[in-house]
Amino acid sequence: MLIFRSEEHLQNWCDARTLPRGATLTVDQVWALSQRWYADRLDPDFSGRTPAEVAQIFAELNLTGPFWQFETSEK
Amino acid sequence: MSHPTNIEPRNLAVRHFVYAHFVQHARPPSAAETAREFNMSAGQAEEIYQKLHRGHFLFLEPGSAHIRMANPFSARQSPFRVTTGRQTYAANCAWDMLGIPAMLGVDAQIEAECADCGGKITLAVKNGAVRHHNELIHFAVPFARWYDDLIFT
Repeated sequence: MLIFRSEEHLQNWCDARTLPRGATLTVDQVWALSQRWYADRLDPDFSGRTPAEVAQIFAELNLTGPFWQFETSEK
Repeated sequence: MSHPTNIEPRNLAVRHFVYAHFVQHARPPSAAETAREFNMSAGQAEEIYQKLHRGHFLFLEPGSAHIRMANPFSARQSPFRVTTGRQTYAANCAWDMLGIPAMLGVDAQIEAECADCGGKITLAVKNGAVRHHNELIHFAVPFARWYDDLIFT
């Protein structure tokens, strides 16, 4: 995940690499995701999340659509 | 993402030790350091590292028992630097640079680089909010493929 000064910089980067756009989030959105995703990482009992728990986090943050779906590949 | 598993208590304890070591020293423990902490052989510590790697609890340098990532921490220097009152940490990516203060629950100064132009970007986390300049963070790889090539992701 990379950060860009602006939409123009992001599009320049994609164009230069002929890469399709993925998902573009604001800093505030990623901060909210970080707080949700990493809040329990230092818990001694942290042992991962189920796909349903991940889906719940994404749904709470309105990260929806195919890009955020679990599908079959482990993540 | 690691899935909840029947991870052995000792392996869970090693996972936690790795994170606590990263928090304190801004680097992961070597297998020898973990072995000393748990009164085990270095080979046993390496074996646990491999199990944690396979379970996506941390990530090793390819072909080695050296920890490269314990997300959000990076053992390698990176363009994403996070300074708290305790340490300066390297993050794996633009998400993880926010993940470090989120995980630690602390204020932080963040220095990063625009991936397009290389220009310096500074963010500040203070009192639970991020000060920024409307930068954008791009996720190139769909969630289901994040672990296909984690370094690229």
